[in-house]
Parts: sequence; structure tokens; C-alpha cells
Amino acid sequence: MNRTPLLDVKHLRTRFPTERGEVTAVDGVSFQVYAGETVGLVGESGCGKSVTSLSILRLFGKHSGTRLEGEINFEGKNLLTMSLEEIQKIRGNRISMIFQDPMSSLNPVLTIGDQIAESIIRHQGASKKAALEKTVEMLRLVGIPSPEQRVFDYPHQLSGGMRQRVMIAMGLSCQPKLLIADEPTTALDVTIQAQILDLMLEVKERLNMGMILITHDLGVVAEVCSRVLVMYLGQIVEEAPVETLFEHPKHPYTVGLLRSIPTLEGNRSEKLHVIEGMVPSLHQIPQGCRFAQRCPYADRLCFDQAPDLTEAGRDHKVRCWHQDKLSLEGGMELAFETRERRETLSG
Amino acid sequence: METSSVTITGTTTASHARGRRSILIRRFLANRLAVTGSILVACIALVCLLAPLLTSYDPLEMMVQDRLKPPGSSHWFGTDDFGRDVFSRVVYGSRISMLVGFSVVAITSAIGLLFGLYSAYYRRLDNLLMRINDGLMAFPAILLAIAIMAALGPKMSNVIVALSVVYTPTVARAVRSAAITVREQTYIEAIRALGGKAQRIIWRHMAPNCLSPLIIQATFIFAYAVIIEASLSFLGAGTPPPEPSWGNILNDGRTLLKQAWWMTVFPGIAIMITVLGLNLLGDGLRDLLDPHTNKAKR
Repeated sequence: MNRTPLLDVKHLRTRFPTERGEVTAVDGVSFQVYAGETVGLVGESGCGKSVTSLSILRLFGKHSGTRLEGEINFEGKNLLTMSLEEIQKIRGNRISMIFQDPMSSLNPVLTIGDQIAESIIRHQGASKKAALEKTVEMLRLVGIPSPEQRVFDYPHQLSGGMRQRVMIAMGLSCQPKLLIADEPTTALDVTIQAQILDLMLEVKERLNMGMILITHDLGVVAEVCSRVLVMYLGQIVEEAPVETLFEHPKHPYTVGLLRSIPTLEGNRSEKLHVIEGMVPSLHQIPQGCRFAQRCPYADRLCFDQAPDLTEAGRDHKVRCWHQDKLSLEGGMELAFETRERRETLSG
Repeated sequence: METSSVTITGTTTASHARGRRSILIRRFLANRLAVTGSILVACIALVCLLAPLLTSYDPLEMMVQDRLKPPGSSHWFGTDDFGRDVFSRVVYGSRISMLVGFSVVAITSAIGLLFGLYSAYYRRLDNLLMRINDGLMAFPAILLAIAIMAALGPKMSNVIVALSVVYTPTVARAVRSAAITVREQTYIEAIRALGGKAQRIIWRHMAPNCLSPLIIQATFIFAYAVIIEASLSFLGAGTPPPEPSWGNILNDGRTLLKQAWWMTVFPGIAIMITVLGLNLLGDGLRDLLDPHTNKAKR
């Protein structure tokens, strides 16, 4: 790809003060998003996916003490060095965000029309009447029936799926170039999930937007993403085009995630694969590879030294010392062989 | 085509709004105490508005030949030691109580809302404002009110100032606690992600969500204001005589309690009815508007 990326994140580092000292929730994350593509950001809870997305729009309170380092270039400007006023002009206008829980993402005391119209008036300087017309049009675009009447509804009059459509309409009302969707379908029924994903893909095509989809659902990733970033404990551990990731994963963590998906063909009596152990606390980041304690392949090198993110193929980057030895098929046997050794090492 | 769609939307909004409103009204009407409270408050408000129509006596007019007359057909509540009509004085006294109550509620609500919202939104300001609040709340209400009155001098407008100072912290607290909950809601984060500015978030998105506790609090403050105004006037630190206020009528009657019980009983009943009505109304509104009690009832 030789086009210039829409969003270029370089060595992003996000730190928060906590009662037990400062933690680095995102540690040196770099990635690009191009116009028209969907990038999936996956990982367990607490791995830094959401913090990464909040960092892009700098949605941390002024007094939260959050420190952001690195560069986030969007359309040639660094979002991290902008004034608050400048970034407010970008939020909701050039970059929009959709949140996880449509039940609590709408203000209960304002009509949905008012809420959608608000950002149209704010960013495009439209009159109230023009904004209302645009709002109706947006509601129609996201597939809400009889939008002329629905604009006057309050959030409690809509179902969860409808509310998520409203959130999407709000996010898209100013035709942003980048849409960040933070688990947009997690709170929805499976049937509605598919509808919402289809809708998001459709509008993405129509507006030629870039999209970052944050999720822990690899099924969703397979369906909609073109490229995937796997995060673990604040770092990217694997980055690959979606087919490569599913067919030739190289990082043991990715392998573990893929094996944890239940399949329809699988033996029901067989237990689901579980990645052993817990995500370490951000207060006690291991000095070697961050995944070593839970990794079936870890050896002395892994516990001593942290690997870098290295090229493992075309558009494929992995952060693992043993990436070449691994394959999905051989994983299971190797896991049993190495368990004993790992216990002696980590103990 | 255009016009027809507009009319359709117009009616649906109205019917939605009416639907929700009628549910609220029905639930309010089902609460008998709240209805009693609002009837009492409405009666007092009417008395206060229609005062000149209810009585033919001037509350300040002294009729020496009619001193200390017991309640009867010409003077319903009797007369005091200057021969002034007690009924007329109690009726006109309601105006002072209502005026003080209303003004105090208006001032404390406005300032309390401002302080509450800003201290919920701006953490550093919060520390400053809430410490001032704590300081003011550390004094018992009546003592603080007396102290302020002593400094300002007995005058009705000063009573309003004093009570506003005394009760603003209570409102600010209630609004702040509601606003902190609202501030952490996803919809506020969503608005920020859509480029909303601080002032707009505070006033358009947070303020309406904090009104329920404010309204409930305001009703109770109205009741407290009536009581404390009466207390201050009784102590001679409130509305100065000869202006009739329930508190100073009580004080006039205090020394004559054995000869003329009517001078103390009737203003006392007036205070009781007003405060009872406001408290019942406040309880009713709390049942209706407070989400926690709502859940418990369903």
C-alpha cells in the first residue's frame, strides 16, 4: 500500500495515575488505517483496546492526569498536539465514535431528533429546520421506519437495536472520514447484531470511510474486517490481514483466542479451549514477553527478554520469539509437552 | 406532501408527550397524601392572592374600642391588643410567608443548580465550592440565619438573603450528587465524542437530568423557609412589626396567651397547614420523581 493513511498512529503511549502508581495502559502502539478499510482491534478485556480508541479522540478528562505520548496523525495533523477547540471540531465531524451500550448512550430527556440534529448544527452550522431534515434523512439511511415521526421519539420509546441505529445515525450525521466503533454489537441480540454490522459496512462503503472496529468477538472480525490488530496488555502482539490471521496465526495468544471459539461442528462434550491464567495487572508488567506466564511455548528467553514486533510475512507482524516454530495444528501437542517445563520456569 | 408530513409529526409528538404526562399525573393522583398536600398548598396560595377579597379589614387598622375581642361574627379570629383584626392579619401574613418562601426557593435553586453542576463537572472547582458548602452546613440553619439577620438588620428582604445563604448549600449538594452520576453516563461521553463543548454539555445535557432532585429539594426548602421566617419574626429578627407576619403575630400574642388564645392559635394553625401541605407535596413528588423509590414500588 503506497497511499497515505487516513489515520497514522505512531508509538502511542497512554498513562494514567492510579492509587497504586502510574500505569501504562497503552504501550507503544503503532498502526495505520486507510480510507475505505475496516481494521479490527481485538483482545481480552483490559488489554487497552478501548483506551486506544479514547486516546485517538483524547476523550479523557482534563484533570484525569492522563498522559498521552507519541503521534496520532489524522489528515496530516497531529491530534495529540491540537488545542482543545481544534479537537472538538474534529470529534463527531471528521472522526466519530459509536459506543458499546446503546441503552445508556442516548440522553433520556432529549428526543433522538434533537440529539442527532445537535452535531449537525454544531459542525455544519445548519439552521434548525435544515438540521431536522438532515436528521430525518439520516434516520432513513440507518433503516428506521417512518423517520418523520421517529425523530420526535425519546430514547425509552425505542428498542436496543433501534437505539444503536440512532447512535450510528448520530455518528454519521456529519459524514466523518473515520468511524471508531467500540463493541457496537456486544449489547445486542445475535439477529440484530448481523443487521447492525451489515448496516455499518454499507454506510462505510457509501461514504468511503475508514473504520476501526473494537471487539472481542472474532466472528465479527472475520465477517467485516480487512485487517486485524491483536492487543495484549497494552501492546500489539500480532497484526495481519484477516485471512492470514485466521489461517496462519503466528502468535500463541492469537492461536489461543482462535481456539476459544466454539464451532458448530465441534464435539459438544469436549471442553472449550481456555487460555490459562489471568491477564497480569498493569501494575506488575513482566519484564520479558508479556504473555510468557500464560504461554505454552515460553522458554527462558521469553521470561528474560521482551520480543519486538517483527515482520513475519507480507503485511504480517508478530511479537514473539518463537513465531516460526508455531502453527495452529501443532499447537495442542506442544502445549502439553511444554506445560511442565513452563511451571518450573515461572515458579 | 410537505405539510401533511408536518401535521402527522405534530400530532404524534403531542400524543407521546401527553401519554407520558398522563401516566405521571395518574400516579400522582393515586397518592392521596400528595394530593392532600397540593390542595393545602393551593388553598394557601389562593388566600394569599385573594387577600383583599377575603377580608374587609385593613390588617394595620387599629380599632381601640374593639381590643381583644374573642372570635365572633364580626371578627372571625378575634382582635388583638391594638384592636386589629386577627383574621385579616393572618390572611395578609400569608403573603409574607409565600413571598419569602418563593424568593428563597428561586434564589437557592438558581445558585444551587449553578454551583452543583459546575462542581460536578469541574473537579478542582468542586473542592473549593464543597468546602465552602461544608462550612455553611456546619451551622444549624436557624443560628446561621439569626447571625446573618443580626448583621444585616431586621427587614423582609434581609430574611430572604439570609435564608438563601442558609439553604443554597443543601440544593448545591443535591444537584451535585445527581450531576456526578449523570456525568459518568455514556451519553455524556458520547456527546463529548461528537464534539460537544463543556457549557453545552453542562446546561443542555446534564441540567435537565438533575431537575428531579432539585424540585423535590425546593419543595422542602419552601417549607423550611416558611418556618424559619416565622421563627425569626417571632424572635424579632425577621419581618419587623407592624407588618403582619405569622411569626410576629405569634409573638404579639405570646404575652396575652391566657386572655386572648386566638392571637396565637390562628397564626399557629396557618403555619402548620402550610408546612404540612408543602411536606406532603414534597413527599409525593419524591415518590413520583425519584428513580430509586420508583423501582421499589414497581
